[in-house]
Amino acid sequence: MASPLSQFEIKTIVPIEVFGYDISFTNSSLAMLATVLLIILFLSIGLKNSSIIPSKSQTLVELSYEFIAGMIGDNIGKEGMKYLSFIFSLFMFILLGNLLGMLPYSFTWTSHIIVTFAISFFIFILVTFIAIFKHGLFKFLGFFAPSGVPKAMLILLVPIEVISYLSRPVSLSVRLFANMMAGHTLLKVIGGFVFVLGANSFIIGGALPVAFLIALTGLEIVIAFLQAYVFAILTCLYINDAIHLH
Amino acid sequence: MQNKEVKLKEKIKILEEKNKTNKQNHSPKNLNVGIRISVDLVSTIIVSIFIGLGIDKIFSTHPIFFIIFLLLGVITGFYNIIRYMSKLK
Repeated sequence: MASPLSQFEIKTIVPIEVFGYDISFTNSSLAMLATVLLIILFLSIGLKNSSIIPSKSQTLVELSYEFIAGMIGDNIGKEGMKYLSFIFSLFMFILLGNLLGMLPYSFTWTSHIIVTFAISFFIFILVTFIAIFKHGLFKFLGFFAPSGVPKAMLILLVPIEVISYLSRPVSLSVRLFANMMAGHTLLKVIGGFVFVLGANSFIIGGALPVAFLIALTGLEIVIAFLQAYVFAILTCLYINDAIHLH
Repeated sequence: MQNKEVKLKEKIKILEEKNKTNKQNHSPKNLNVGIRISVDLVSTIIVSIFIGLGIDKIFSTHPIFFIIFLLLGVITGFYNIIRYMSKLK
């Protein structure tokens, strides 16, 4: 029987090599491409015949737009509205990537640390540049020395602030990756129980793990939404920190 | 008649209160808090260990900065949790 981790294996579909680097088109790239196409399809169908009285698909698109706009309004304020397109595409990309992974025989690209780390590292660079361009380098470095603290405490507090700033991309990426990978591994392990117990007890024994599997699938869909939401809201918080610096 | 109305109103009140407590316990925001904190603690330690090992490699002072930054990472993780929890209340 296949190992529960074999679902995360990268398989090359079209091998490409440039300057000795392997940049092949893999099943991971295919899943990402499918996610992007799905987003384009979802938005274009929803906005095809846009009218004042929205149709069902238009309501869904408007709902997702308003959800992100509300999140930015709550967490950043009016200055954050220019980052709406960025956060909206980020949220949709991760959400549909997570949901696409829930389909049988598909591939969950969010369960690979390198993908989520690349996304979160770019967010980290973006946030740092926003802060430096908005406030200048000196004021940005002042962000690491909290005001109103005795100078002796700064020896301890500055490293603490620097480490917690540097750990942002790691915690952002590990959160998404760990949740998706753990969830999908658990689904496969319980799926293995269904087969083994069912084969050894005339199918009756398989009923309990199947019920468990159905419940876990529901939980996994909730987690798909929640992780996309957490990723988007933390990006909002980081951009808010960069714009306001305290 | 009036007796029935009073009973109904009481029932509605009890149900509404039940609904309130249920919403507080199962809102996704609380799950969000748990997920955030658990990963924050680990990630600060990982990052500070890498910083410590990097400094050790540059100055070839193997265990010293590794230990210092490991302790700093643990302190940072708990400090962040305390800060986050006090912001919630």
